Amino acid sequence: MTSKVSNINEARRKQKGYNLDEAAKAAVRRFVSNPNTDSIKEPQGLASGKAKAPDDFINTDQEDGDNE
Amino acid sequence: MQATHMDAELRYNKLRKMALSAVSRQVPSNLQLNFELIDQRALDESKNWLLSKRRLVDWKWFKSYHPFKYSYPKRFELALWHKGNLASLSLGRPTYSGTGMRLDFIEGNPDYHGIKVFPIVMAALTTYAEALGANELRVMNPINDEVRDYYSKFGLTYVANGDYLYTRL
Repeated sequence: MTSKVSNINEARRKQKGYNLDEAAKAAVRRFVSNPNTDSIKEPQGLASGKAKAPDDFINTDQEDGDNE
Repeated sequence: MQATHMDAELRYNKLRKMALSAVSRQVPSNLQLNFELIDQRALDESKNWLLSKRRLVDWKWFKSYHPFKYSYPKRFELALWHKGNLASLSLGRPTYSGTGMRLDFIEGNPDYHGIKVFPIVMAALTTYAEALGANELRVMNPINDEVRDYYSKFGLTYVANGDYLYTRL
């Protein structure tokens, strides 16, 4: 499985002059410090995921397709 | 563990820590959050969730985490602590094509609601995904319609065929 994901383009961030702190700053601005989402109430019992069994988080599904 | 697997684990563990540290520096300090990798303390704490009557899932993080960790060296993982309380655990991995990052599992502490965990987890996931050069985020398998609709309010689009929400980076 891991060999199939080796094509994540890490060079992309280098080409963009990638900066981790800048990325984090933008991410926090987008999701955490966003006035448009401040008032949204989080559901209690928040969870996402599909486990094959309570103690098995792998082999949960066949691979998803891309939106590209 | 093979040497190549160990190399990958070490390499991406360093990147995970760097991403979590970067996010930690950017969130307002008054939120009193700690961004940590999933460790034994977090797994032990998650055992208390098994007793919760408010819990909607029956996952055993303390059993499931290590196989996931071994299977996915490039995984995203986060134990989010708020004022000393384990607020959330989450795990993800790159998409099959390697162009995106999936949030495969997220669970908020069913008995602690001191902070909204999803936007914070998404900020951490985004930072790590950016570090890997991903261009898309996916949140897989929302547990119910309420949770799905909640995610969509953060700009994520639901894909019924696949049961996930996504957003571009």
